[in-house]
Amino acid sequence: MAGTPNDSTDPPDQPGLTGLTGLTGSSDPDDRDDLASLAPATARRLYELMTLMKTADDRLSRGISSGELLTVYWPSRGQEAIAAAMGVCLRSDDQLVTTYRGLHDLIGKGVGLVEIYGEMLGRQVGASRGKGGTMHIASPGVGVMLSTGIVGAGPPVAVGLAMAAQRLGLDRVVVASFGDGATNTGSFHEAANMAALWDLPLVLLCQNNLYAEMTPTEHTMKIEHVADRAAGYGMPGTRVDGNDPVALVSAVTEAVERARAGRGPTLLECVTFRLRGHYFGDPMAYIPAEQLAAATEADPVLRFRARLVGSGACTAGDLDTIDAAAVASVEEALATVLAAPPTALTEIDHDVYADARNCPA
Amino acid sequence: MADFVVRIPRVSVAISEAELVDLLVADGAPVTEGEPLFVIATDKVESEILAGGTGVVRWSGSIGTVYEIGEEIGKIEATG
Ligand SMILES: Cc1ncc(C[n+]2csc(CCOP(=O)(O)OP(=O)(O)O)c2C)c(N)n1
Ligand SMILES: [Mg+2]
Repeated sequence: MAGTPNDSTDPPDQPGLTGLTGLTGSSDPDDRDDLASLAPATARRLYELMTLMKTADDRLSRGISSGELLTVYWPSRGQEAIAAAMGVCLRSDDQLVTTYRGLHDLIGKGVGLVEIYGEMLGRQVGASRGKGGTMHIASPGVGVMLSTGIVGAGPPVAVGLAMAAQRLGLDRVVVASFGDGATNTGSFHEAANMAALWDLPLVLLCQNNLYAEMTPTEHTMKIEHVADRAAGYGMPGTRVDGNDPVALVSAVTEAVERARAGRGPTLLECVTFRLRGHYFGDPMAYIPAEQLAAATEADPVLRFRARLVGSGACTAGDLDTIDAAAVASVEEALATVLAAPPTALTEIDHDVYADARNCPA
Repeated sequence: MADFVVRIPRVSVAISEAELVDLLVADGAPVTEGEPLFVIATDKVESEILAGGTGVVRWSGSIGTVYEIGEEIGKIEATG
């Protein structure tokens, strides 16, 4: 069989460049186009979030590769625009369900860096008190209800959360963030069906990075666009350039408004790329060189920076200040985490049993 | 600046140990953060590891030995 999940040696039959043609909206740094459709404060906030996501990823990568930080990590580098757009479009009481590749989503939804790094590095200050690790970060106070390592497990949980909001008469919206590969699972299809049937306040946010582990999408899907799957459930499906924060804000806003107004879910397919591969340390031998080069060229953070400066919306100096602030926040958070105690053994049954006294030993 | 403890990094998700196959900076020689410092081999691949700090390198690990991930193999002593 072509391209089984752990097959890193066989190059794909087709280079899979087709998906990258979606990454055009941000490809011209001099684009003056629709940046004006964003309030200046929103454009700035998007850049702040994207820079913070990139900086947090870069620091982890540097630390893991030098042996300074011992953790496992599924890098979100390259997918920042999607999470930033989600972040500026959601209210703090809106909810998110994400995956192991969640650093950017967590930052977008407002989880603090100490909680995130603390969890990744097994410290008491972590979001899940250091017991969950990279794949299991939740922070209900800011609406992050679940991160899961089980591909396709998020959407059904998000359906439950959206159903709760509907039944409680709340106008909050739930976003389920997942990959292209997740849309091949049965649980995704069951979730999409029920969400559409019940008009649930849900946004199915697919971050299509063209690969699931080492397998390109064209080896696992007959259709070219994930968004086309929406038609099977009677909900709108939109495909958007996942490296263009401006296009993303408009698409996410539309989906969120629709959900909040009680008109049901949307499947949003955001086409992007994982610039560091599947897991940290992935040699990426299965990615055709020209595809990686095109994706690197389409780096959403660098592109957005050039676009903001090129259009006159921000000066390079403004953005340098934002970059420096991101580095300072990341270093401060990391220092706090490294100084914090490792998770204590006494934590072992905390948050596991409501009342441990009557549980069998 | 404190000394930087040089450890065997977790360069990949599914590894528990790695062999130290080369030291790229001599004992007692200076190194700058980001410069190549040593090479490890896991069952799949050899990886060049960059220095995580700046200073004078003191090795305690030796070439040809298999170490657990996270094991200390040296220090970069902060100078000045
Ligand atoms: C149910 C299940 N099957 C297989 C795996 C192994 N696995 C981990 S990540 C992954 C790829 C998922 O790809 P995608 O949904 O596109 O997300 P991405 O990693 O690209 O963000 C697979 C198959 C898993 N974790 N869970
Ligand atoms: Mg994917």
